[in-house]
Amino acid sequence: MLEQVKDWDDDFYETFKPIAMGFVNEAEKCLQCGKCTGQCPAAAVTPSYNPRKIIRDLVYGNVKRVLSSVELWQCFFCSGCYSVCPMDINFPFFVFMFRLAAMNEGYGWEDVKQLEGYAEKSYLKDGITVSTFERNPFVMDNIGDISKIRVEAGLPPERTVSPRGIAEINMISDLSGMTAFMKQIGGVELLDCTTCTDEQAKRCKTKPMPSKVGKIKTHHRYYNYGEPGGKKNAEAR
Amino acid sequence: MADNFMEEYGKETSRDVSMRTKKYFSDLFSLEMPLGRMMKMMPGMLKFMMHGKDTREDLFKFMPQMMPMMKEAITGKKEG
Repeated sequence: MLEQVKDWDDDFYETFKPIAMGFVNEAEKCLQCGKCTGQCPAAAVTPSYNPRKIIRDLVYGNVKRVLSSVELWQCFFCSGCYSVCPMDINFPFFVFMFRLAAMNEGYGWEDVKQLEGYAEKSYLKDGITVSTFERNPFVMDNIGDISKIRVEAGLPPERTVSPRGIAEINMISDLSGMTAFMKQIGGVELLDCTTCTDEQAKRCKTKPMPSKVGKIKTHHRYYNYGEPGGKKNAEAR
Repeated sequence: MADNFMEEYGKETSRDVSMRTKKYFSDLFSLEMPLGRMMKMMPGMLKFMMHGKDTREDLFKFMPQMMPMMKEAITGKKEG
Protein backbone atom coordinates (compact mmCIF):
# COMPACT_ATOMS: atom_id res chain seq x y z
CA MET A 1 0.00 0.00 0.00
CA LEU A 2 1.48 3.32 -1.09
CA GLU A 3 1.41 6.48 0.96
CA GLN A 4 -0.75 9.20 -0.53
CA VAL A 5 -0.76 12.98 -0.25
CA LYS A 6 -3.75 12.68 2.08
CA ASP A 7 -1.55 10.82 4.55
CA TRP A 8 0.32 14.03 5.28
CA ASP A 9 -1.81 16.60 7.10
CA ASP A 10 0.40 19.66 6.71
CA ASP A 11 -1.84 21.88 8.86
CA PHE A 12 -1.68 19.53 11.80
CA TYR A 13 1.21 21.01 13.73
CA GLU A 14 0.13 24.65 13.33
CA THR A 15 -3.42 23.92 14.46
CA PHE A 16 -2.35 21.56 17.22
CA LYS A 17 0.10 23.98 18.86
CA PRO A 18 -2.49 26.34 20.43
CA ILE A 19 -4.54 23.38 21.70
CA ALA A 20 -1.51 21.77 23.35
CA MET A 21 -1.20 24.52 26.00
CA GLY A 22 2.47 25.20 25.27
CA PHE A 23 3.61 21.60 25.72
CA VAL A 24 4.46 21.25 22.06
CA ASN A 25 6.56 24.15 20.79
CA GLU A 26 9.14 25.22 18.26
CA ALA A 27 9.31 21.97 16.31
CA GLU A 28 8.98 24.04 13.13
CA LYS A 29 12.50 25.30 13.84
CA CYS A 30 13.94 21.78 13.69
CA LEU A 31 17.06 21.73 11.49
CA GLN A 32 16.98 17.94 11.13
CA CYS A 33 20.59 17.92 12.31
CA GLY A 34 20.13 14.64 14.16
CA LYS A 35 22.01 15.64 17.32
CA CYS A 36 19.07 14.33 19.35
CA THR A 37 19.38 10.90 17.78
CA GLY A 38 23.17 10.91 17.97
CA GLN A 39 23.29 11.25 21.73
CA CYS A 40 20.14 9.24 22.53
CA PRO A 41 20.79 6.21 24.79
CA ALA A 42 17.52 4.61 23.65
CA ALA A 43 18.54 4.99 20.00
CA ALA A 44 21.90 3.35 20.81
CA VAL A 45 20.23 0.09 21.80
CA THR A 46 17.18 0.27 19.51
CA PRO A 47 18.41 1.74 16.22
CA SER A 48 14.94 2.07 14.74
CA TYR A 49 14.15 4.73 17.35
CA ASN A 50 14.89 8.12 15.85
CA PRO A 51 13.64 11.36 17.47
CA ARG A 52 14.62 13.34 14.36
CA LYS A 53 12.27 11.33 12.15
CA ILE A 54 9.45 11.53 14.69
CA ILE A 55 9.71 15.34 14.80
CA ARG A 56 9.78 15.46 11.00
CA ASP A 57 6.61 13.38 10.79
CA LEU A 58 4.84 15.53 13.35
CA VAL A 59 5.71 18.80 11.63
CA TYR A 60 4.75 17.48 8.20
CA GLY A 61 1.66 15.83 9.67
CA ASN A 62 2.10 12.09 9.22
CA VAL A 63 0.16 11.47 12.41
CA LYS A 64 -0.78 7.90 11.54
CA ARG A 65 2.85 6.78 11.37
CA VAL A 66 3.83 8.38 14.66
CA LEU A 67 0.85 7.22 16.71
CA SER A 68 0.95 3.61 15.55
CA SER A 69 4.70 3.22 16.05
CA VAL A 70 6.50 1.20 18.70
CA GLU A 71 9.27 3.80 18.62
CA LEU A 72 7.08 6.41 20.33
CA TRP A 73 7.24 4.20 23.44
CA GLN A 74 11.01 3.73 23.51
CA CYS A 75 11.91 7.13 24.99
CA PHE A 76 12.59 7.08 28.72
CA PHE A 77 12.64 10.83 29.32
CA CYS A 78 16.33 11.42 30.04
CA SER A 79 16.00 14.78 28.19
CA GLY A 80 19.42 14.38 26.60
CA CYS A 81 17.90 15.39 23.23
CA TYR A 82 16.58 18.62 24.76
CA SER A 83 19.96 19.46 26.26
CA VAL A 84 21.84 19.08 22.95
CA CYS A 85 19.20 20.55 20.63
CA PRO A 86 20.53 23.75 19.00
CA MET A 87 16.96 25.02 18.62
CA ASP A 88 15.84 24.15 22.18
CA ILE A 89 13.08 21.77 21.12
CA ASN A 90 11.74 19.91 24.12
CA PHE A 91 11.28 16.51 22.52
CA PRO A 92 10.31 14.61 25.73
CA PHE A 93 7.21 16.82 25.96
CA PHE A 94 6.30 15.75 22.43
CA VAL A 95 6.64 12.12 23.44
CA PHE A 96 4.50 12.69 26.51
CA MET A 97 1.73 14.36 24.52
CA PHE A 98 1.73 11.93 21.64
CA ARG A 99 1.68 8.91 23.91
CA LEU A 100 -1.61 10.25 25.26
CA ALA A 101 -2.80 10.68 21.69
CA ALA A 102 -1.65 7.15 20.81
CA MET A 103 -3.56 5.76 23.78
CA ASN A 104 -6.62 7.64 22.56
CA GLU A 105 -6.18 5.79 19.26
CA GLY A 106 -5.85 2.50 21.17
CA TYR A 107 -2.08 1.93 21.04
CA GLY A 108 0.39 1.32 23.83
CA TRP A 109 -1.94 0.30 26.66
CA GLU A 110 0.21 -2.74 27.34
CA ASP A 111 3.10 -0.48 28.35
CA VAL A 112 0.95 1.62 30.66
CA LYS A 113 -0.49 -1.52 32.26
CA GLN A 114 2.85 -1.97 34.02
CA LEU A 115 2.14 1.12 36.13
CA GLU A 116 -1.00 -0.37 37.62
CA GLY A 117 0.95 -2.08 40.41
CA TYR A 118 2.64 1.15 41.42
CA ALA A 119 -0.60 3.08 41.39
CA GLU A 120 -2.91 0.68 43.16
CA LYS A 121 -0.56 -1.17 45.50
CA SER A 122 1.49 1.79 46.58
CA TYR A 123 0.46 5.26 45.56
CA LEU A 124 -3.25 5.42 46.34
CA LYS A 125 -3.01 3.12 49.37
CA ASP A 126 0.19 4.24 51.09
CA GLY A 127 0.97 7.49 49.31
CA ILE A 128 4.38 6.23 48.24
CA THR A 129 5.50 6.25 44.63
CA VAL A 130 8.55 4.05 45.13
CA SER A 131 7.14 0.59 45.66
CA THR A 132 8.07 -1.28 48.77
CA PHE A 133 7.66 -4.60 46.96
CA GLU A 134 10.56 -3.74 44.68
CA ARG A 135 14.16 -3.66 45.81
CA ASN A 136 17.23 -2.89 43.76
CA PRO A 137 19.31 -6.12 43.86
CA PHE A 138 22.55 -4.13 43.55
CA VAL A 139 21.71 -2.14 46.66
CA MET A 140 20.62 -5.28 48.52
CA ASP A 141 23.92 -7.04 47.72
CA ASN A 142 26.23 -4.12 48.41
CA ILE A 143 24.57 -2.02 51.07
CA GLY A 144 22.03 -4.38 52.59
CA ASP A 145 18.43 -3.92 53.51
CA ILE A 146 17.56 -0.24 53.52
CA SER A 147 15.00 -0.65 56.29
CA LYS A 148 17.80 -1.64 58.72
CA ILE A 149 19.81 1.41 57.74
CA ARG A 150 16.73 3.56 58.22
CA VAL A 151 16.17 2.15 61.72
CA GLU A 152 19.83 2.79 62.61
CA ALA A 153 19.41 6.37 61.45
CA GLY A 154 16.39 6.76 63.73
CA LEU A 155 13.77 6.60 60.95
CA PRO A 156 10.84 4.18 60.66
CA PRO A 157 11.76 1.09 58.57
CA GLU A 158 9.47 2.11 55.69
CA ARG A 159 8.64 5.55 54.44
CA THR A 160 5.28 6.57 55.82
CA VAL A 161 2.81 9.20 54.72
CA SER A 162 0.36 10.68 57.21
CA PRO A 163 -3.33 9.66 56.90
CA ARG A 164 -4.14 13.25 56.02
CA GLY A 165 -1.54 13.16 53.25
CA ILE A 166 -3.05 9.96 51.86
CA ALA A 167 -6.52 11.55 51.96
CA GLU A 168 -5.17 14.52 50.00
CA ILE A 169 -3.47 12.28 47.45
CA ASN A 170 -6.72 10.38 46.94
CA MET A 171 -8.69 13.57 46.51
CA ILE A 172 -6.21 15.00 44.00
CA SER A 173 -6.20 11.71 42.16
CA ASP A 174 -10.01 11.68 41.98
CA LEU A 175 -10.20 15.33 40.93
CA SER A 176 -7.58 14.99 38.22
CA GLY A 177 -9.15 11.83 36.84
CA MET A 178 -6.19 9.63 37.68
CA THR A 179 -8.27 7.17 39.71
CA ALA A 180 -10.62 6.69 36.76
CA PHE A 181 -7.61 6.24 34.48
CA MET A 182 -6.14 3.59 36.75
CA LYS A 183 -9.45 1.74 36.76
CA GLN A 184 -9.34 1.82 32.97
CA ILE A 185 -5.87 0.27 33.03
CA GLY A 186 -7.19 -2.38 35.39
CA GLY A 187 -9.50 -3.46 32.55
CA VAL A 188 -6.55 -4.25 30.32
CA GLU A 189 -5.53 -7.89 30.17
CA LEU A 190 -2.54 -8.96 28.14
CA LEU A 191 -2.09 -12.05 26.06
CA ASP A 192 1.10 -13.97 26.71
CA CYS A 193 3.11 -16.54 24.76
CA THR A 194 1.23 -19.45 26.35
CA THR A 195 -2.05 -18.34 24.84
CA CYS A 196 -0.95 -17.10 21.40
CA THR A 197 -1.71 -18.94 18.16
CA ASP A 198 0.92 -20.15 15.65
CA GLU A 199 0.15 -17.18 13.42
CA GLN A 200 0.74 -14.78 16.31
CA ALA A 201 3.93 -16.60 17.28
CA LYS A 202 5.27 -16.17 13.73
CA ARG A 203 4.59 -12.44 13.82
CA CYS A 204 6.02 -12.13 17.29
CA LYS A 205 9.56 -12.24 15.84
CA THR A 206 9.20 -8.86 14.20
CA LYS A 207 6.26 -7.30 15.96
CA PRO A 208 5.18 -7.03 19.57
CA MET A 209 2.46 -9.39 20.73
CA PRO A 210 -1.08 -8.26 20.07
CA SER A 211 -3.07 -7.48 23.11
CA LYS A 212 -6.80 -7.49 23.24
CA VAL A 213 -8.62 -6.49 26.17
CA GLY A 214 -11.42 -5.61 28.47
CA LYS A 215 -13.16 -2.46 27.47
CA ILE A 216 -10.09 -1.00 25.80
CA LYS A 217 -9.26 -2.16 22.33
CA THR A 218 -5.51 -2.38 22.08
CA HIS A 219 -3.99 -2.42 18.62
CA HIS A 220 -0.79 -3.85 17.22
CA ARG A 221 1.98 -1.33 17.04
CA TYR A 222 4.45 -1.35 14.17
CA TYR A 223 8.14 -0.64 13.75
CA ASN A 224 7.48 2.30 11.46
CA TYR A 225 11.00 3.72 11.50
CA GLY A 226 13.14 0.72 10.63
CA GLU A 227 14.16 -2.78 11.63
CA PRO A 228 13.57 -3.57 15.31
CA GLY A 229 16.94 -3.52 17.02
CA GLY A 230 18.75 -3.48 13.66
CA LYS A 231 18.67 -6.28 11.11
CA LYS A 232 21.60 -8.13 12.64
CA ASN A 233 20.00 -8.23 16.08
CA ALA A 234 16.65 -9.29 14.65
CA GLU A 235 18.26 -12.30 12.96
CA ALA A 236 20.27 -13.24 16.03
CA ARG A 237 17.06 -13.63 17.99
CA MET B 1 -4.48 -9.01 10.25
CA ALA B 2 -2.88 -5.82 8.96
CA ASP B 3 0.76 -5.97 7.98
CA ASN B 4 1.63 -2.30 8.47
CA PHE B 5 0.13 0.89 9.79
CA MET B 6 -1.25 1.92 6.40
CA GLU B 7 -3.31 -1.25 6.21
CA GLU B 8 -4.32 -0.91 9.84
CA TYR B 9 -5.89 2.50 9.25
CA GLY B 10 -7.40 1.47 5.91
CA LYS B 11 -9.19 4.37 4.23
CA GLU B 12 -8.69 6.75 7.13
CA THR B 13 -6.31 9.57 6.24
CA SER B 14 -3.91 11.40 8.54
CA ARG B 15 -6.34 14.32 8.42
CA ASP B 16 -9.05 12.17 10.03
CA VAL B 17 -6.67 10.94 12.70
CA SER B 18 -5.34 14.43 13.38
CA MET B 19 -8.90 15.80 13.74
CA ARG B 20 -9.60 13.08 16.30
CA THR B 21 -6.36 13.82 18.14
CA LYS B 22 -7.06 17.54 18.25
CA LYS B 23 -10.56 16.96 19.53
CA TYR B 24 -9.21 14.67 22.25
CA PHE B 25 -6.73 17.29 23.45
CA SER B 26 -9.18 20.17 23.28
CA ASP B 27 -11.53 18.16 25.52
CA LEU B 28 -8.66 17.19 27.82
CA PHE B 29 -7.40 20.74 28.28
CA SER B 30 -10.81 22.34 28.34
CA LEU B 31 -11.42 24.69 31.27
CA GLU B 32 -15.16 24.30 31.03
CA MET B 33 -16.94 22.47 33.80
CA PRO B 34 -19.87 20.44 32.53
CA LEU B 35 -22.05 18.65 35.07
CA GLY B 36 -20.63 15.23 34.18
CA ARG B 37 -17.12 16.38 34.98
CA MET B 38 -18.25 17.95 38.24
CA MET B 39 -19.99 14.73 39.30
CA LYS B 40 -16.81 12.76 38.70
CA MET B 41 -15.00 15.07 41.12
CA MET B 42 -17.56 14.78 43.89
CA PRO B 43 -16.53 11.38 45.37
CA GLY B 44 -12.97 12.60 45.89
CA MET B 45 -14.12 15.72 47.68
CA LEU B 46 -16.61 13.79 49.81
CA LYS B 47 -13.95 11.27 50.86
CA PHE B 48 -11.66 14.13 51.81
CA MET B 49 -14.44 15.84 53.75
CA MET B 50 -15.28 12.67 55.67
CA HIS B 51 -11.66 12.11 56.66
CA GLY B 52 -11.65 14.42 59.66
CA LYS B 53 -12.53 17.75 61.15
CA ASP B 54 -9.45 19.59 59.86
CA THR B 55 -9.93 18.38 56.28
CA ARG B 56 -13.59 19.42 56.43
CA GLU B 57 -12.61 22.91 57.59
CA ASP B 58 -10.00 23.15 54.82
CA LEU B 59 -12.51 22.23 52.17
CA PHE B 60 -15.07 24.73 53.45
CA LYS B 61 -12.44 27.47 53.33
CA PHE B 62 -12.01 26.65 49.67
CA MET B 63 -15.77 26.70 48.98
CA PRO B 64 -16.14 30.41 48.02
CA GLN B 65 -13.61 29.90 45.24
CA MET B 66 -15.40 26.80 44.05
CA MET B 67 -18.95 28.18 44.04
CA PRO B 68 -18.78 29.91 40.60
CA MET B 69 -17.48 26.67 39.11
CA MET B 70 -20.25 24.64 40.73
CA LYS B 71 -22.90 27.13 39.61
CA GLU B 72 -21.56 26.93 36.08
CA ALA B 73 -21.76 23.14 36.19
CA ILE B 74 -25.32 23.06 37.47
CA THR B 75 -26.87 25.89 35.45
CA GLY B 76 -24.68 25.51 32.37
CA LYS B 77 -24.24 29.29 32.22
CA LYS B 78 -20.93 31.07 32.51
CA GLU B 79 -20.73 33.97 34.99
CA GLY B 80 -19.14 37.33 34.31
